[in-house]
Amino acid sequence: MQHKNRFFEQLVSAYANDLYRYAYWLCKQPTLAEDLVQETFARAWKSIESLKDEKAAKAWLITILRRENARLYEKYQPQLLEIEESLVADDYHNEPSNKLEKEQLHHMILKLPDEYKEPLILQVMWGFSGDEIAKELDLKLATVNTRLFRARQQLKQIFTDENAVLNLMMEQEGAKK
Amino acid sequence: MNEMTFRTKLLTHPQILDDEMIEYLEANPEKKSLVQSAREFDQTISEVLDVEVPEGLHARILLNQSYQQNLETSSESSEQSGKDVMGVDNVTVLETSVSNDTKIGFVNNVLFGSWKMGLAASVMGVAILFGVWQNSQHITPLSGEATIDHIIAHIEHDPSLMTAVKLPNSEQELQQLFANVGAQLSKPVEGMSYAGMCDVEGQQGLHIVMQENGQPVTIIVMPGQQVEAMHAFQKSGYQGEILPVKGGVVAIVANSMEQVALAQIRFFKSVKFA
Repeated sequence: MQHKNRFFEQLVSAYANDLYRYAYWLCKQPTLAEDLVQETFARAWKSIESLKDEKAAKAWLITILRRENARLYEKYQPQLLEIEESLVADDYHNEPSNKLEKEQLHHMILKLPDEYKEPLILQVMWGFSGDEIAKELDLKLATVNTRLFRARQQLKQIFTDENAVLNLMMEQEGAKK
Repeated sequence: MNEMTFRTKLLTHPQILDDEMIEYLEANPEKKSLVQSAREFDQTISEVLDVEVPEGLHARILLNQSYQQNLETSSESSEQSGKDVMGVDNVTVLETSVSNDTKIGFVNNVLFGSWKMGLAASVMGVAILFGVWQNSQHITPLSGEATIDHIIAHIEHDPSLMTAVKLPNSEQELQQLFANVGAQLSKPVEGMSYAGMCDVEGQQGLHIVMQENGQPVTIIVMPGQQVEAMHAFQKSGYQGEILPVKGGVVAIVANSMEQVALAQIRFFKSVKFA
């Protein structure tokens, strides 16, 4: 039992933060994201003895979390993008451009369809290879690669367009003064 | 390889350059900037994805696990003794519940109904922390056992605080209370019935009482103190935890771990430490 407890604590220490982040980007609500992580670890605890290979823990936890998210989504149909507006600065005049760019990117990632967002998060945040993403999401490698490409392409495209609008606004504001 | 294929591969896996891509770059060295640009963009994505994690998340997960474990133990012992403490249906409800609050509240109601214990658990006042932490003007590592002993020793010192309804008159005053210990209140703490400052060896601490299902839980915030990790305890019929936050320590004491966990969740949903 002591070993089980210690192993569980190690899992929490190693993966809870990134699981929370994964959950956050999936469900878009901080409170719900924490509930998802709690439920993920609650289920992990119940079946921790079935985890034979510790190296598989990362994928195992993500699988649990994704199932919980799907279950929760079926039940509650959470209001999408509930927090996005609050994350975007109200007044661009007071924000350093770098911070504002990141806030815009945050906003855009929230809007990105899950089919593009999930492979991107698994690759960028979790360091999964294309094959690992394919296995986790039950997709073909070619499909994963296409989605990774399109995810970045969309972000770049929107990001560039949004920045162009922002720059125009700032130029216009400057011209008034 | 042409440029389109190169760009496609780069956007798919910006961190990986295969032989074909390296060969293309050798033939077209001016395209190296594309690699740098793609990696910089990926770095920005990575930074944006790295959202802030709620304070105390690990501790709350471990607490949840600890009372799952308690439930398992209770369930096993009840099966062995032939006494039906929870009932099969109740266990099923617990396992299928998505909401932690529901789960905690349910366990709380079923397993821990002692009103008297709840009353006693919340009697922690200003004097509780006297003599426990020396040199409080700087970060002081706490001895968990000594702290717990001292808290328990003072538990019946001031019973009025646990039933008192005494909160600051204005939101501004309430904010100031939390600001005094380096905390920020983003919304009212659900169930809070008392909030006031306490003197901890010449340094101010924050004393809160919350009502959980009619039973008081005490939280004390001690700035300038330090513990390495969350420490859950069970002593003399009381249960609680001491956990680190930015710039200090938070102690939560109640008559059950479920109350502690529920109070902790509510507290950290409202309170942030800078």
